[in-house]
Amino acid sequence: MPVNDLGYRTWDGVITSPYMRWMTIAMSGIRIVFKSQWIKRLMFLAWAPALAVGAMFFFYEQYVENRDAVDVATGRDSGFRQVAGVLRMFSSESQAKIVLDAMAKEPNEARGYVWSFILMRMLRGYSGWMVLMLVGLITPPLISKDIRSRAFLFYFSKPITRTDYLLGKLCTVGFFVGFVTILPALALYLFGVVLSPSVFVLLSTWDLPFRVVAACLIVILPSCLLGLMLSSLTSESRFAGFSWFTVWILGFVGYRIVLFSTQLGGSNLNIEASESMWQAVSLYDCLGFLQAWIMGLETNHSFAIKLLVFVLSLSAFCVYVIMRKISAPINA
Amino acid sequence: MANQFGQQFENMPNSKAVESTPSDLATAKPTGPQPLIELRNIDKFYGQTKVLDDVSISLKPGVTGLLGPNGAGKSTLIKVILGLVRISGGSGNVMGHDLLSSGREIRNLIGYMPEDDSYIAGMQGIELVRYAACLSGMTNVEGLRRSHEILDYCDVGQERYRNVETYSTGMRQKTKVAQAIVANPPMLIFDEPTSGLDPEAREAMLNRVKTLSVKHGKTVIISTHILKDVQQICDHVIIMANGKVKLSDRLENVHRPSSPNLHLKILGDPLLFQGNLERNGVATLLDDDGNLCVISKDGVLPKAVWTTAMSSKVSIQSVIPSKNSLEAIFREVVGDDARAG
Repeated sequence: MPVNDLGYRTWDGVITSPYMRWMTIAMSGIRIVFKSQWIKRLMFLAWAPALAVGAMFFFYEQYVENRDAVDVATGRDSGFRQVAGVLRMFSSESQAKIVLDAMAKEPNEARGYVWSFILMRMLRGYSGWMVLMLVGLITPPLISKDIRSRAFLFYFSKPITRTDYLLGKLCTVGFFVGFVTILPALALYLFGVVLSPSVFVLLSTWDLPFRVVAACLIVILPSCLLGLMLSSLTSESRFAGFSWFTVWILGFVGYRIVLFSTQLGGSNLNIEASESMWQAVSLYDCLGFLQAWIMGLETNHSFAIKLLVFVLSLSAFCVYVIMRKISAPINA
Repeated sequence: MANQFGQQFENMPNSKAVESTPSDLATAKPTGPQPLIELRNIDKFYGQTKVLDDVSISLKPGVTGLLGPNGAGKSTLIKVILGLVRISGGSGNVMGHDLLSSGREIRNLIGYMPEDDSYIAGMQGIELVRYAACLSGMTNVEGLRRSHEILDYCDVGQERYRNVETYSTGMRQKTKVAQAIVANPPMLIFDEPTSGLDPEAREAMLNRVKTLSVKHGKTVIISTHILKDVQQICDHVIIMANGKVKLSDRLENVHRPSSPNLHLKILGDPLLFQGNLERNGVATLLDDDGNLCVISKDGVLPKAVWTTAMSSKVSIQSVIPSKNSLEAIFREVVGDDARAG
């Protein structure tokens, strides 16, 4: 018997709220995930592109502040053409058009669109891939390991529900993904505010932080739920990881094949394909369109709502499957 | 040294010494007139298969042994009590909480040790028990303090800092018990607590269970295949077969034979003594081990036995009332059902 064994002692301390138990699951999950060196490296790397994108804010604000000198030096049309070229290189035709139209009227007034565009580059160009990588690394073992170690009885014999469990797991991966998407984007916004000539830019861009959060959530929620669903389908986390990357890569390639074949088929079919439900094949493109719509860079509302319904349906389906799979061992 | 530690812990707000009164929750219910668990006509179907068939039990404080062959419905009954599976019919309450609508509240009051290895991969033993404490509502700091206390009680030493995947069977059993009792629930359900333990660890485990019940007022349900464990520590026994409760009674009643026979241990010739007793009108039996059994209607040794012993020059060393063995009862109850099935 250990020297410090005092026998069994009763305990009657204060119990925390039963409705916050999901946080315990999330915190524990975060602690376990943080043990991985790869995750730590990725988290660090995720912030590096934010610095590069931040330079775009700097150059735009410099251009707005000194545009008279720039226009004189390069000629207004010449400077504008260069900006247009850069925009077209980094985005779709429709998105570039919205920003260019606004800039053509008045660069100072176009700040909201330009900032949206820059933030969108951050969300699509870097954070999107980071989400793909992080969810692919974090979610596969989250439920599959619980299946393998038969942890469901451990969880559900405690005063927690299946909803607490799912919420806890969702927040575990959501924390990491949010850390590399929402936080850098918000930091970039603040960076833009700091660089701008006056604090009155807040009046024209006050909605951007909310749009950024919504645009990130529209990616985080279905991605994490899809990852968790794949994890709940197997007790081998590597299969879940493999399925995750397969879904994204095949969808991405498949959609591009559709785009390419429509281009081969005729004149303006490219635009038709890019705004048809074929886009739902590629989650990357589908979620990207929705992000652009939320950021105010896409104006086809009816198509966006169709995609939104698809994404929400996919999320609901994932929740249904996860709930079924985590109930199965209990009912066995 | 031990006293110094004891002194320190007694001064802490949330710790009470062994001699102190158990928590209100633990004591209030057992002494009340209502049974702690009352199930009425519970049915449970998995698809077309009826796994619980009209189960009605009423459980009072103490240690209850839940016995039954594989597939008898013991695990399902435990899940029903925990509010984990939805029942197909019937009603019931656990410690005053309705079975159908208060799953979370019920699980707040029950500590469950599953039969299967059930752990969170990547966690150390101490982390697992603290996690269980936090899931039951303790804060992180308090959960850690309490986990160390409970792991000491369960005799888990420095192994607590190893990952649970690396544990031996015995260590896993101890950790499973620790996670079940860490939040001080008034009721405990242990599924095969002594499975895979060596004799010494088994004895320690049973003592632990008995102590929790007797000294700390816990109501304990043990689901097991080991009848000896039930005989050793249980006050009440429930035998299930084919989803039905075949027997539910206090262990002393189960052991009581229909006719109170008396086993005699004698020094002398048993065959001669038996013959003399039969001639004097005392009905006897000789069991396989050569022990003499006197059939007595009132449980008292007839006077003729003593006189016959004197005349036969036989000394009676002991008189022991015969008991029905639990194994025999179990075989009879389960066998009846199997024949009926």
